[in-house]
Amino acid sequence: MKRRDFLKITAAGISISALAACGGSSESSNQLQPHTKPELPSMPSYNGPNPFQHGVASGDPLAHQVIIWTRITAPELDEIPVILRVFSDFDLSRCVYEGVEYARSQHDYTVKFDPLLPEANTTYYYQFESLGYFSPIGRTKTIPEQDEFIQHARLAVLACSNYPQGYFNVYRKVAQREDLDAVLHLGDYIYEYGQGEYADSKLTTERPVDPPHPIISLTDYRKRYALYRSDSDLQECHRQHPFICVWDDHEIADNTWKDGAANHSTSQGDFNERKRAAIQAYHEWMPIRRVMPDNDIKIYRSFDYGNLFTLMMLDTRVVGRDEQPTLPHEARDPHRQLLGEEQERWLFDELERSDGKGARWHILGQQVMLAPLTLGSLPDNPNWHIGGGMKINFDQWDGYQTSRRRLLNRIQSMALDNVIVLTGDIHSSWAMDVSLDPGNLAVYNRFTGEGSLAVEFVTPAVSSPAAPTKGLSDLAMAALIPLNPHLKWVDLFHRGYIVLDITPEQCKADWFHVNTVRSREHIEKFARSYLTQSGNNRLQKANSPSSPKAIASSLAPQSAATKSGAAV
Amino acid sequence: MNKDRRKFLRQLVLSGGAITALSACGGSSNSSIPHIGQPDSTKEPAPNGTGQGIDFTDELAFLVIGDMGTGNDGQYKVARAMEAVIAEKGADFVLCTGDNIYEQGVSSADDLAFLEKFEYPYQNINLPFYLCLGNHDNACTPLGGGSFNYRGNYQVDYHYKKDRYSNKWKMPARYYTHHFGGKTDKPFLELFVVDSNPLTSFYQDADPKFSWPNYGYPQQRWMRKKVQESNAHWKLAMSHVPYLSNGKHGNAGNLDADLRWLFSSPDADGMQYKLFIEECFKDKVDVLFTGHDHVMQWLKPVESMGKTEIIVSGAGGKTDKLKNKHLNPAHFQQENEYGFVWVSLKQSEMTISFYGVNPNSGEYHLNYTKTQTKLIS
Repeated sequence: MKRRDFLKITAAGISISALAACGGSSESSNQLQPHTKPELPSMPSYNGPNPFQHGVASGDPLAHQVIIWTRITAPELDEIPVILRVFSDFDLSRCVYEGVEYARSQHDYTVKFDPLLPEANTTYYYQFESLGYFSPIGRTKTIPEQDEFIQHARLAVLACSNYPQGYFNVYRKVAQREDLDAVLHLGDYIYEYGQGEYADSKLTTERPVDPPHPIISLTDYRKRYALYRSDSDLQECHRQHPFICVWDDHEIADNTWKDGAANHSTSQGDFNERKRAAIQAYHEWMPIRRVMPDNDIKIYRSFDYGNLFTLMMLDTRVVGRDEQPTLPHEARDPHRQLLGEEQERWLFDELERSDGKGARWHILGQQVMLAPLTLGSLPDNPNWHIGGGMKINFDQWDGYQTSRRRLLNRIQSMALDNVIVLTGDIHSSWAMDVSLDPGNLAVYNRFTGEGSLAVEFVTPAVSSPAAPTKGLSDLAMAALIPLNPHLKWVDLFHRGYIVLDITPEQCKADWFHVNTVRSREHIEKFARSYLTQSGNNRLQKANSPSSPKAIASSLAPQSAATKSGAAV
Repeated sequence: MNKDRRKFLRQLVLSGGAITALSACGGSSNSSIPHIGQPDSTKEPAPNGTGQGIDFTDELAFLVIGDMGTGNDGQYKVARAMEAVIAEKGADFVLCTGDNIYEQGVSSADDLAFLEKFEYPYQNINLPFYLCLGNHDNACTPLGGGSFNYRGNYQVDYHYKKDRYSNKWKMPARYYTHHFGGKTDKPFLELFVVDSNPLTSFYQDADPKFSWPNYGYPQQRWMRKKVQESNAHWKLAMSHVPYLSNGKHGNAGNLDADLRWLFSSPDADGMQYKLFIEECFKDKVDVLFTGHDHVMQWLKPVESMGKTEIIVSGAGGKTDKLKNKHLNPAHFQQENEYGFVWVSLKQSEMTISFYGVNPNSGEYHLNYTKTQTKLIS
């Protein structure tokens, strides 16, 4: 029996005890034999403060599963029982799942559940209980069934949240949106620097980093995540929305590639050890589901939002990237990889699968800019190893031109329409057509967009900086657009996020920018909007942001009581 | 190989009924229509190609030649050596890895080049020849730029020509599969033949029918499905352009590294073709045979192709030297003389023998032979 079928039956009429038994923990989530409701454990003696110091979070939603996360802060205790209850209603009266897990020192007291939930495409509310306390109430949402007809979905797209560079006003604004199906975080969720390094000098006392030194060890990385998760704006965003995350470089160190990083020196020890520590902490602290039980480095994965879109989350950083080139001709080396052979094969298979199942949109969530960024474009000639414009950032796909050509060739060869590329990393807002050779008039027409194979939306940073002033940003835009025919708009100054509004007819990106990140302030303004119509594979400007979704579930309420009153 | 069985198979293949069965594997039986790849996927293929009627085959032998269609003395010398090896060791059919008619293919199914460069040289070899298209088969200049794919269609037409000189030429479609022997539900061998030319041609064909979106990727999708669906005991793939080669053309992904500046097609490096071969055949076919380089090579397996063996046999009518003997590790490689391969497939092992043919004397000799157990199940 399929799990989905089983759930349909149980959801229809069997008590929650059967459901609870389906998924008390990630280990037991595959066992489908119903049994009685698990006995609630007895809690150890505890007289400390509220142990839910780092909030709650959810992520990697599937049609009937979602990762639900919390952490217990209770010094000198270990193996601490944590109860999770999931409810189908805002009032927490209809419990659909109850399970127990244990917060253990070997996982930094983080706890992840992967409960089986009865309904697809449904908002759930959840709450943890441990050591006599209730956690804040969380809200999450399952995604539609794989082949369900879906008319409308909406995602927020975020990246680059550097704590000492500013307040997380962006997270707060995203938290306040009721009608999001999920939040994509495209990486640079934390930064690895020590106190005062890559920070706003005016915020050093308000937002000091912990630990104060560059993070190297497992303990360091765990502390850094704990610092970020102590931020109330970030906590609120996690509390209200399921996240779908991939790492970028700063989750390990600046400009990471598979065997090193620009910001790693031999005096800091073995890079592989550092990478292992960073990845372990990532899995402990982020609401992410392991793709394979014994392979933490593999995080590329996909999500089927009914027949509306397939979301393919990529790792262009760690799993397969060769070192960034230093010379232009190296960027054309056919042996150099950005995704690595295995991930590239997986991606091509996923594109084929997504196309075959009839998904309308094929969305790639990834880190670095796919479209070229050049100082002047000339036609590209791969056989002469020249042309294509002078590239200025070899950390992007520009440094891996045969990898890019393979991907774009595949999209073209498959005659695959409706590929959307979502990008972070560069702390700025960009809207671009994606063409195999944008500087070649015979291949791409900058005025009509003809010759474009896909579109790319680049989300600005949550807090990390780019151009120091708006004037410089405008100057750069005035220079870059003529030099890059596929580039339609760029803003290098503002922090913000994208709301991606997806219907069968069009996929639209609305950029919202916040006023400031130097103080906690919740003012945002609509910046720009571009859309692509189904089958067009090119951008067109829109004048206003998308209207709110017609139906949206209420945000999770603030918890009335934190003390559970249970025996402790 | 049991001689009676071989004779039976040969007769079956050479009979008119075999043509019908063959066409069902992908070719169209209407010779007046140009054959662009797989003509009509809605037609239900016959269940078992030439294997129809054979209850069980547990042994087959065949020769592999390539780049042979010069009509010159060299081709005849190789043909004489093939005859001798067939007489000595037996064979059921011949595989041809492309460049069947030099230098620029044929102009129609009635082109005399079919006689001069195929029928006459091999007239003493009464076996079916299964051929794939090479760049010179799709060219209209001696350079072999491969950008006139309509000319390759005439070679498919010849397969269906009613009053042809012999019935040996087997090319039911530009790309196709073919079963050999075995029970209906599990043939002993299935051959997968790729049309690599439009995927890697030096110059792009002006006819959009042969572009990657219209031809390359549909072929890839079709081939992948066919390989996945196949339950043949042995699976062999054949293509013209090498996946790996220590010869002049080099490895797919960086083909013709030093010559490419002469070419205009961005696909001339074979980067998309490399993925085609890997996605269709890696760890799924036992051996990939290619030609294009006029040398003989048995290259050691590489990770990107798993356990699939990679053999280049392109010295059936021309010779060349190896360009870089160390580019890919090899079990065996041979340059500057003609050559062909003899392969014997048994239930659980295959023997591969490389024969060299002296360009001056025409004497042939066994250069290398190896028997190994079947690695891909």
